[in-house]
Amino acid sequence: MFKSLSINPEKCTGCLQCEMACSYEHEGVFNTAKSRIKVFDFHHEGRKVPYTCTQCAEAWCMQACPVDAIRLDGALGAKMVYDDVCVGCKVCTIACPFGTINYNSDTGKVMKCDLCGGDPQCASACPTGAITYVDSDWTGLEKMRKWAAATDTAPRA
Amino acid sequence: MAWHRKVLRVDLTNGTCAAEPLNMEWADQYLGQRGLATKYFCEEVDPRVDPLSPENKLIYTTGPLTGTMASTGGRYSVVTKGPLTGAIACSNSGGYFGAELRFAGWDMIVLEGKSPRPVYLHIENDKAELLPAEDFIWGKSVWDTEELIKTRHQDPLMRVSCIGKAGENGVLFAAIVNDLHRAAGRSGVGTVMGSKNLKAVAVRGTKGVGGIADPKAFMAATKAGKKVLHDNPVTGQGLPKYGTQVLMNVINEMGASPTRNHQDVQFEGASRISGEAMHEKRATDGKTHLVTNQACFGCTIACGRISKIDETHYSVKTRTE
Repeated sequence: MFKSLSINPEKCTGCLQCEMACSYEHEGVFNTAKSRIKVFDFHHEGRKVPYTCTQCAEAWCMQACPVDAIRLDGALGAKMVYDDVCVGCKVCTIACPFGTINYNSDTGKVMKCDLCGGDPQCASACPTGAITYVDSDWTGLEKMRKWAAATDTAPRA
Repeated sequence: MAWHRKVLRVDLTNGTCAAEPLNMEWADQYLGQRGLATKYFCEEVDPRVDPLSPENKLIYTTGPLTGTMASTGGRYSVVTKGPLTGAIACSNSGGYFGAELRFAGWDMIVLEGKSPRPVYLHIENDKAELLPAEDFIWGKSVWDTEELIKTRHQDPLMRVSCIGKAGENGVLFAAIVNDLHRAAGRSGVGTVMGSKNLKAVAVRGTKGVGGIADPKAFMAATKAGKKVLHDNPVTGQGLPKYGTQVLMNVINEMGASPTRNHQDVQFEGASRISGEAMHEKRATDGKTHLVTNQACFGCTIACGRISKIDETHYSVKTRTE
């Protein structure tokens, strides 16, 4: 069973614990500039929205890579960047429709979410449960539960 | 601890920026933030200086935890001699600016002298420079200033700490405001910044905070700290739900609510402006004043509020400049 990151912006407070956990896991420093997940602050609407790679099945980044540096991790379903193969050409950053793969000028490679080997640190660090790691086939479960409760109008004992 | 061991010294009179090592002996003795900056200030500034003279200094300071995963680790302080009381002043603020300063590789900024023309300080990692503020952001509000700086540098990820018109015009209790709505609001630090012809400090950092001696122990300790905050009724429930306004009714009941410039100690309308009231649906349009919670950098409490008033309800109209 694959698992996916599930993001609920309504619970996000904008504390950036996820960005720090991500950069710490991958770079060994607390550095939001090197995070694979970003929280966007839509100030006038009062909305904070964390956003990262959804691990597309037909991943554009993977298709576009001319040197085969992005490959599927069969156990996780994650699309992984292999730094020893990546030449930093950035074609994947153009191919990705969502902007979730980006160039890291410190390493000369691209970086994207790799689900932290199955234990996503962003989800562990989130204090409000805005980021969870759930069954890939049931990312809608929480939303369904909410609507099930809202549409359940039968009289109660 | 996670110090960069680097202080940025800005001579506004001569327009120069220079890096110098952080005094680690003082850092160990005075921990950081207010303590450390106060030590620097007392060592460097004559206590008899006029707060609004070039001889006064303004210190932006962070602590050893600023920019780390420690909860509430996003704060920075401003230390100077306050213009209102003539005493040493310390004002601290949340938001994201303090952490960004650390990410750029600086622990502290010491601002001294007075610039002959209005300027702003631009920091991009190791690079720091004073740029002209005239015909650009001088005379603008803090909201406009932040937007204009981000637009000019084409960098939406930049963090800005600046003064508004009050600080420029010598209002003695003027604040320094960062990230639009977080303020180093106490003791008139914004006035001192204005007296130095310094409009803003704009920072972008991509270096991050590292160098932690025992990362495993650090992560365990910060995690334990977050649990304490989560389990405490004030930081785990009261503040997240109602914000700092959770105290309004309590303080009013105690007779400690400063009302009409402290002529009174209780305000008759307290219950209508309390944290609880922000959750109530208003009669005019059925919406609550509260839109959402807003955390500062790294904070797991999230006591900040984003709220919207019903504009038609108030006599003060939205004015364009």
